[in-house]
Amino acid sequence: MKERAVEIRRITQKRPDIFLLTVRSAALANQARPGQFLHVKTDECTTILRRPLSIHRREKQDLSLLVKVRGRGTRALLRRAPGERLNVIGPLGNGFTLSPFPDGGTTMLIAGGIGVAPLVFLAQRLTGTAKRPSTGRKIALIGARTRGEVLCAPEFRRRGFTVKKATEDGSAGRKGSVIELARDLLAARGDARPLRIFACGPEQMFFRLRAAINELCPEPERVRCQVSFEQFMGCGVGVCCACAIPTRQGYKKVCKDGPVFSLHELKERGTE
Amino acid sequence: MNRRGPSMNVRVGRCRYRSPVICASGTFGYGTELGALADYSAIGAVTTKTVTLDPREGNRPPRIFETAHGVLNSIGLENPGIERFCREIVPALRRMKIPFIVSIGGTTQSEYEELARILDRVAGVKAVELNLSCPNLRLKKMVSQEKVLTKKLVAGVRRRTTKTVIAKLTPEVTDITEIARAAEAGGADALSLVNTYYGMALNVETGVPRLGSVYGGYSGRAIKPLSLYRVWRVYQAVSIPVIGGGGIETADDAIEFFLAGASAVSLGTVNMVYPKCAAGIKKGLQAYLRRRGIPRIARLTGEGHERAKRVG
Repeated sequence: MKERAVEIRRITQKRPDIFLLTVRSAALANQARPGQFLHVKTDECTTILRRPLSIHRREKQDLSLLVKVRGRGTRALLRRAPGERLNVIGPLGNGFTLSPFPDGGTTMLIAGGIGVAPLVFLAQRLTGTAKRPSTGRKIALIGARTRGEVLCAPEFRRRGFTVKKATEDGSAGRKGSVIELARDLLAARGDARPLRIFACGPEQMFFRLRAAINELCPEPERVRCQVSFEQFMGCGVGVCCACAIPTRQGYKKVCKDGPVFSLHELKERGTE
Repeated sequence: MNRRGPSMNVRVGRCRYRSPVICASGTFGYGTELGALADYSAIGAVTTKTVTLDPREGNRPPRIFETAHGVLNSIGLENPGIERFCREIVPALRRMKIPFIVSIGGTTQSEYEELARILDRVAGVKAVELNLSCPNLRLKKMVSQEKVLTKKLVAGVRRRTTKTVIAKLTPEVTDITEIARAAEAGGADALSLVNTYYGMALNVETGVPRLGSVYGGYSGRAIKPLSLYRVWRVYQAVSIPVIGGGGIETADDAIEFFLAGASAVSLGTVNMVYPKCAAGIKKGLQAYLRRRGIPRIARLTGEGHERAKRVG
């Protein structure tokens, strides 16, 4: 981890409230692992703290961030221009753990809304640059409010993933949430072949996912499930203790112990 | 002024610091974690995250929220307790040769006294800062909201250590000079001004407070004029040195605090954004002194008061 001023290459609007910001830094691109984030100083005036943003994609020396406009910080970032320097600290966080996984197992990615951001980089790593690409079935579940908000489906397809969609209004794919879609799939499996899940999205999604796994998988404890968490942060490097979340082992820091946690270790908020 | 430029050494209480730029408690961890992200050479001392007798797990999340011009936090003194601090963190600090001040906190006077007694024997501790002002401990009152308590607690600690004793005060009082005088009377070697202000924010969509513990401490650029005013007032009221801070982001901000009466400055929220900020601020201070032909940073302390008299 290092503080750097990196060059903004491109800012591309993908949807009215979603944009792709690409920065160039060979060093950053080489170090970055899926699930890690950059702690971004959006600009000098509008905000005080940095904003933690997941690494969305890597292309050679470039890293892209997929950003949803949420407030002052992300709006300020959208106003930046190519050629300008962006101050970032990173890559930060633990990232997804890619331990050996048996052939024939199923890899399932579950994205809720903007939670798709880190999963594209993960899909890149799972299929492209891996020494031995995984051979089993690969499914990407993408959830959004409406058809127009479904993100990155072609990126997953291009990497050999079967894409399934869920929209709240039913305008694309299954009507309902991405977890209901996951429930359909888990219920249809009915066997105990190896399954690993990587999920990112709103926090409540994780606990509904855990309930689904416990209910529908024959051996729930053998399902490897890693989830990438979001939390307001201070320093991003583990010193301020602001981004704590409750786990079975007490509070953990999203910035340093996470942002990726095993689903089994999380504790629901309000139960701490 | 010697050839190496203006002297940046300052004396605060019983020891000297190589730089007048100090990292405020809670914003720099224990000082050791940042590694290459920080520039330790510019830092006079790191004030550690507050240590308590027993470990504390901290407050319910969310613990931080940024508002338009400042930052709300409610960490709740998460820390591993004094025993692990002495066993694991102090050796690391000494190995890295980082000058450090230990911030201590507690819920009773005897806890502060015990902590001070333990730290008195720990080599490398430059000073003990009494956190008398944490807004995130749910006590009826903070110690530094009560002059009698402040004096008594400082005096109790004073009896148990030969180290420099710094009292860190809350700005949340009717008259901070009364509390400052009480700490001085109790035997404090120096004062640290100020801790955060009480504050809160609510989510207008859900109606829920943004912090898990409802309210917390407010810091950042918004509080700078408020903190500066308190440093100014306290400088007039006491004769012990003041470490001044609250919303400092630039060298100019720091200069204002020196002019108002600070002998050293503390960086808080800005550390979380720019871990190397102490270096830039120290450099900016040096450039300012050079430009004005002032040989030592200590000469700047309180200059604003002289100027104000002449104008008035």
